[in-house]
Amino acid sequence: MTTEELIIGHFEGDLDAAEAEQLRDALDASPDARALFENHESLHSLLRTDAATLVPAAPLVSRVLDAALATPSEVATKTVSRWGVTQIAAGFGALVLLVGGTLIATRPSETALPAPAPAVAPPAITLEPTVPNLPQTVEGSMPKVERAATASRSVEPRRNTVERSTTKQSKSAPRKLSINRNGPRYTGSTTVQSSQGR
Amino acid sequence: MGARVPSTPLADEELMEGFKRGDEASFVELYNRYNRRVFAYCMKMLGNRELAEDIFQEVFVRISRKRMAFISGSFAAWLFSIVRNLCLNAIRDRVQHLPLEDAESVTQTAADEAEYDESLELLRQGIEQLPPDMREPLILRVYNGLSYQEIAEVMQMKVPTVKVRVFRAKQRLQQLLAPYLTD
Repeated sequence: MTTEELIIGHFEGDLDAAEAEQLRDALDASPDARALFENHESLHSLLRTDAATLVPAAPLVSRVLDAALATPSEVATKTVSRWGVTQIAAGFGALVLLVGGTLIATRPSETALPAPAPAVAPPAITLEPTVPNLPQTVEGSMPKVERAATASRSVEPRRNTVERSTTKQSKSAPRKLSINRNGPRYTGSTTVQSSQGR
Repeated sequence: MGARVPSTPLADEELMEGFKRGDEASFVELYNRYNRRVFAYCMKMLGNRELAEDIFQEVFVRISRKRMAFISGSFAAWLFSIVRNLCLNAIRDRVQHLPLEDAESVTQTAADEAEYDESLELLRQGIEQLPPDMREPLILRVYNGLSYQEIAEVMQMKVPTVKVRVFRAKQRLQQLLAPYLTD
């Protein structure tokens, strides 16, 4: 360590006991070291004085404090943290449901028989219509399509639609309401199913 | 707002946590501890009182607004990171918006306005002559009282680098002012 490093270290408060002793020896031995030490001492004194002069005016100090206290905190961080907790809880719940559902769905049943292998591979569906450019939504005028009964995707939903609409009609039929001493009671099979479902 | 009378002064970080919980007295205490140092830094970095006052206000308004962003670590390092960024932005804006001759005159305004005696004026000029990479650690160390570790955090450099730069800044300053310091 040079003498100047020891001197600056002294004013920074960085010297240990051995280094402080080394500095004392250097100052005792060399007038140049002493001059340098005095220069740094003056410099530090000047820096402290300068720092002490840089003071904000009193009106500014009170004005800034008022402005800072009147400033609301940004709520974004709060919202994020609160949302994070909710998200973690929801995510954990969803994970439990997913894992549980997967386990139940994939658990092999003891009574279930193995699914029989298809005897014949489903025939390929020919999609080429016999009548070109005929709108396929028109009932009864569908082009002839050669297909397997098990692969009739375009036909099944249509039938389902009919069934569903029938069911809807039966549900929306007016219900009979009779009143006896025990209070109102629904009658009819539709009514019983409906009330059981509730 | 209980009658809390601590036996020992609370650490800056504890006060900041109190402020985050809504205790305004904690913020007032922090403000009293740091307002002079923040102002000194702004003055030293910007060299213009009016601009320094603007940044000074912006710093504490921002501290209040972003109080929840303070998570852990040294409050002083966090505070002076904000001060430093605002000052650097202000310097960049000033350079962009002013013609060169105006920018030079602005840096001299503080000297004209301040009631510095001759030796302090020489010191100020000496500090301005330091390269920025030496000047800033020196200001943070001497005018703001930050530790080497805190300066390293603010300036995002290693502690030994900070030590060397502070040392070299003082060495250079002593060389520049040597003819006047011996009087």
